[in-house]
Amino acid sequence: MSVPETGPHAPPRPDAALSTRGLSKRFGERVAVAGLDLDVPRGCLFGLVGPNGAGKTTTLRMVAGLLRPDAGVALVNGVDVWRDPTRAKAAIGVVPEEMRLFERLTGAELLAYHGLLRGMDRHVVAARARELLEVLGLTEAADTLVVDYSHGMRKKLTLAAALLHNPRVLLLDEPFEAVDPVSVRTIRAVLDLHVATGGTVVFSSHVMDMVERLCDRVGILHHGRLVAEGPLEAVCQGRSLEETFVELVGARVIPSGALEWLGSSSG
Amino acid sequence: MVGVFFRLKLALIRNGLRGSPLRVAGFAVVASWAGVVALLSFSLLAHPPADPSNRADLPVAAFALVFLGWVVLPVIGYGLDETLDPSRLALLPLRRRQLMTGLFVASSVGVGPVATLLGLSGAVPGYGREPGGWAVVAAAVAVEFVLCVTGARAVTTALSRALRSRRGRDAWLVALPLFLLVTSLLALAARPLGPRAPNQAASQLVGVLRWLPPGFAGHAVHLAEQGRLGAALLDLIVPAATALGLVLGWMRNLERLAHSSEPVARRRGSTLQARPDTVLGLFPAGWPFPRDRRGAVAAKDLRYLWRDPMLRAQRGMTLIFAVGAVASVALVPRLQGPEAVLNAAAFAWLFSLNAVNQFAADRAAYWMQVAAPGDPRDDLVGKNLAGALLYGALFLLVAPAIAALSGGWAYLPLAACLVVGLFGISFGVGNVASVRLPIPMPDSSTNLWAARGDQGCGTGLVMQLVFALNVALAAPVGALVFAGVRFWRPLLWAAGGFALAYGLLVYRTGLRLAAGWLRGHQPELLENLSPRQAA
Repeated sequence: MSVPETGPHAPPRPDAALSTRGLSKRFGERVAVAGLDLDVPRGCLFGLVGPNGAGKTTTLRMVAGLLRPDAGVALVNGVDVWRDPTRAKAAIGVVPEEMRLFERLTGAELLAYHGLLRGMDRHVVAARARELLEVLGLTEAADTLVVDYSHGMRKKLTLAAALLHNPRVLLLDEPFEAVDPVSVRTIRAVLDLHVATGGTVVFSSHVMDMVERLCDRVGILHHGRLVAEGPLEAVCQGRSLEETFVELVGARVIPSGALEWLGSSSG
Repeated sequence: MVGVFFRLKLALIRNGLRGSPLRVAGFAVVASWAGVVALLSFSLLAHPPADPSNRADLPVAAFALVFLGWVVLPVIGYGLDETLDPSRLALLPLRRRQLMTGLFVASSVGVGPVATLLGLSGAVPGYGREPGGWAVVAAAVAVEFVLCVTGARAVTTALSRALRSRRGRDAWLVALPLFLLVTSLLALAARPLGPRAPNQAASQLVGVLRWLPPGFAGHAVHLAEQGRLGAALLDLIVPAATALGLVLGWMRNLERLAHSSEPVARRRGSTLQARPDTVLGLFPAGWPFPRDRRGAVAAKDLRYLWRDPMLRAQRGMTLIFAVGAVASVALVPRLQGPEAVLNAAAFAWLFSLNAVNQFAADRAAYWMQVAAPGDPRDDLVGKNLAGALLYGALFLLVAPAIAALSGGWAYLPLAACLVVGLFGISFGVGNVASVRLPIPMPDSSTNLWAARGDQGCGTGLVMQLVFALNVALAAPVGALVFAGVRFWRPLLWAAGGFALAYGLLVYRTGLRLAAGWLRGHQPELLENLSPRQAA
């Protein structure tokens, strides 16, 4: 098994697309992320896994500039997200876990809105949006209000918005949740293309099979700390990712005698 | 069951206030304010006027006014306290009667209900004579209370359902202009009433209100004072039956809203192949603003005005009040000089105070703005452009109508200068309040106006603060206009020029302060607009 390759507050790797040093966040008494040191090399598909509440979403939100960390730094292509947000955000595309979108715009309007927010040329926005809608199978729904989209369609629309400005780093929080198998294949193809052209993808997921099939590197978060990180083979050492994950974070065993009422005739 | 819901609602209100000094302050201020209003109402009803006619009219007018407040205030932006979200109760195996009782008990706990009950109960010592009379007046107060609590919910759920259906949207399109036309004609017809018109109109109005359900309850109070207890009890049948009908309507709409989704709305024709200039349909033809970040924000906000059911209802209310403004010029002789046109500027300014909470409809979707690089000042400017277009259109609707009624066409350019200056003040102050004290719009599946208990309090507190600041800043303009109208006409034109320059100064200052803060605090604004805050 591999341990984190960077020591506490070691300098970021020069080839890293994304680096964090001592990244921390606390919500009241609860520590969500505890001094995270992470390096994601350029041109890789990186899977961030961990049990519920491990700090995956909080980490991605802090790196995307959506949530202010209590301490530490987050660098994207060497640019500090919190000191120079304009430069850093230009290189980031993000799909957050909570799919809150401007629901009273149509899918096409939402993409146009997103592109113009980023200062893109409107002709480029129109051309790319059309292409993305086509590739992701949303052309038919382009003129439908987002409020009428299914969860999977929203995921794909948010991914289209994240790709619109051709970012070098994609941060995707649970991108495959509630997406049908055909769309999963399409999204995979888009992500592979992005990585093949030198882009970097960091995504969180609960689906171990998906991470195992897609990623060349993984990081396992537990209680806001990185308990393992590195190339998939090095982390798993011949076992499945799920076995490695359960071993590292510990499986909760139901004590004998508990929940005996479950399935009995009593209400 | 009653006790369970009572304690549950109390616990939810208490937990909602935890850890947020702003919420606690809002709750405390609005609770104190509601307490003062309740005591004043109690005192008014407990010591009714000696004049027999006014004495009889008072409970009718008071009961009708309180009911109107309960129905209108949620829709114009204060929301409705639904801390205990009814859609969650739908999951429990409760019989309909248990659900109705539980929801009614939950709805009766809060600042508004307690203040209402306290204010109305002044009628018991004021109009009650001997134990029988006291009992009947207390019953009338109780019926009125039930009417208010259930009426507000029945109306907002019915409106939620109507505004979400396509037929409802169309009905809203037809009903509003029709309402505006009828009220305008009525206002014009009432013109020849002369100087005593307001009193006569008020008396006639009470005469009409008496035959509406809250009026029946108010009239029962009057009958009880006269010792006609049987007739008073008969009068209570109408509001009691109405309350029952409202409860049933409320329940039916809740069930339907919980188990149905909004119909899919498709726009006619595809915009995908349209010219690139329209940027996929975001900008309509003839778009007057820049086609950049500022323009995109303005275009999105303007689309929301019509497409978001809650904002659509608010704009409908705005139009109704606009007609009221025109009608007031027609009805009130003191407002009938040619200078009455200047009231249109004041009126449009009052509505532009809505700029206090410009990010409310963005809610947690504001993350898209935060994720994008670029100057958040552009977002504020875009929102101001959309607001200026909306409230400017309102001014353009009201000012010529008043000019036609009052013959004050010559005052239109001055009114236009004043309104631009006043917009500068309201948007300048509104920008700062919008980023520092944001309150996300409610977002419930069953009732568009269902909010957390203290949300209405927070809105009330922020509105009061911003209103006071706006009034203080607009006072120099108001003083110049007043002096011009009363003492020396040339001052009026100086007021126009002053308003323009002063408004621009206040606007630029407000925008600089708000944008400066926002540049470093977009994530904090996002956090305040996110569901965790709103839940």
